Amino acid sequence: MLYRCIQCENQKLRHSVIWSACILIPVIPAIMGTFNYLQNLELLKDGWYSLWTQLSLFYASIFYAPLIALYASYLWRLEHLNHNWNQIMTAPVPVPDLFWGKLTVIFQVTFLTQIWLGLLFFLCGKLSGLPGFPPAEILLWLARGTLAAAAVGALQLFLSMVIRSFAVPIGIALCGSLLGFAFTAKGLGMYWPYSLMTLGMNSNRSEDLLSSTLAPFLLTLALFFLLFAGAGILYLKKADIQTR
Amino acid sequence: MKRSAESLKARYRFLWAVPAGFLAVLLLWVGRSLLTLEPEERVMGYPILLYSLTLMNAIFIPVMDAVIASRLCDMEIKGNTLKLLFTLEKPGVFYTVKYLSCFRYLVVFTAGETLAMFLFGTVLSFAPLPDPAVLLFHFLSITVVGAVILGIQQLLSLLCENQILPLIVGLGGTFLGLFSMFFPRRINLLVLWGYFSIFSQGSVRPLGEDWVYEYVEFPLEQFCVFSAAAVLFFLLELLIFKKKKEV
Repeated sequence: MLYRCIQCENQKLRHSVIWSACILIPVIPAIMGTFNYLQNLELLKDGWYSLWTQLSLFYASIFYAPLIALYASYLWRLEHLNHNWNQIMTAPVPVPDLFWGKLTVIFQVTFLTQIWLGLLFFLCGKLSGLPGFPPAEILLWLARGTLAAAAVGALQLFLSMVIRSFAVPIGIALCGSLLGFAFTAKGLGMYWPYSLMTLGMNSNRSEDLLSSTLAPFLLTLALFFLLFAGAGILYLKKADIQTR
Repeated sequence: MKRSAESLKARYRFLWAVPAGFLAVLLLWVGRSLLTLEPEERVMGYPILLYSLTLMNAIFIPVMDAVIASRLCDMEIKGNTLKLLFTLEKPGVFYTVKYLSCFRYLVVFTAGETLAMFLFGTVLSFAPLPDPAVLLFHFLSITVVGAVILGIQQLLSLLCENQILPLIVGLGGTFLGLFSMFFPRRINLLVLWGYFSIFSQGSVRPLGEDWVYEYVEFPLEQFCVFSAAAVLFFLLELLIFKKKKEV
């Protein structure tokens, strides 16, 4: 049944504007980060690593979470409109599958966004005249950022389900990301979901922030993921769903 | 009468929470960094504040505008109310009143920010401002730039069935604006979302191993031209809306 739910959610995304966000938003940090890198070549001398600092500078710390929030809001908006809540809640489908289906699709779109960002990073590096291929370490940072998105995706999915506004959860994600700066600066990034992406993607750093704390990072990520997904499923099961 | 209709529509929607929430996060952020200043650094308190608020406004205001416009316009899209409304009032009047009702939330944010600047300066004993007009110009510039962005967001939110597009524009614009601040001025001038830094009265420059924050003279002439362009821009948006939605 879960597979069917995922198929349905995928079907809802066909010809959707969500793909424009997935394609267009990462292009901005790629172009502007590269431009910034080329402007400061006398200071940025670590090649691929330096380019990564510029590309991930604002993307991971500020815009990644709102982008995931955008995906989550879009998926729930379809249910918030036209009495669709009644339809999905009366469908002969286990409630957890509805939530997991949406979460899987969010993860899938985020995964594609990250692949696209990686590809753009490679292209920008080549256009900037960087030799060879990006270090494998950076690919690992991209993968960690994608994993971190699972926890934030679960949180945003929960928020977008409870808050029947398209835009408000996106605003919350932006505020959460900015507060994440403070948590990361204080060394408390592990305890704030919106900081996990910054840590995972090693935003604006050349040296690995998680070299000695990868296991706690993965554990926190798993805990946040279970907490938010659990809260979402519980809410969906228990709350009286009103249609406006 | 029409304005009160917009107020009634906004009842129980917690719209004040949007500027209040954004303002709270902004003040937390700025307050945190100001509290770490050494007493000798507080001489530069206001320029530091002006510079950091420029960055924060470039991030916050476009997204806040997008959220407010989407929240207020989406009710018309969801309820499919436009055709019915246009039998009661002209699309132009509707558009202007809707804009004013969105604008007041923006003003709450910008006025709150300006007031907070004054309070931070007083409580933390910053060196006095060279001219009290600095605060006035700060308020005016962020309000006008925010108002232009709000106009774009409102137009998109009313024209698009799907609110994802205006939000993509809001996020993308924030991204562009933030990056453009680190680019040469001629590029910065091309990006509307980056105008917070064009009118910023605080700047930073390296001096040996230190960073020096200083006041920048407010570009009053440029601001007047921008404000005039803002009015024309609003009229253009109004025209586009009327053309698209006239019954």
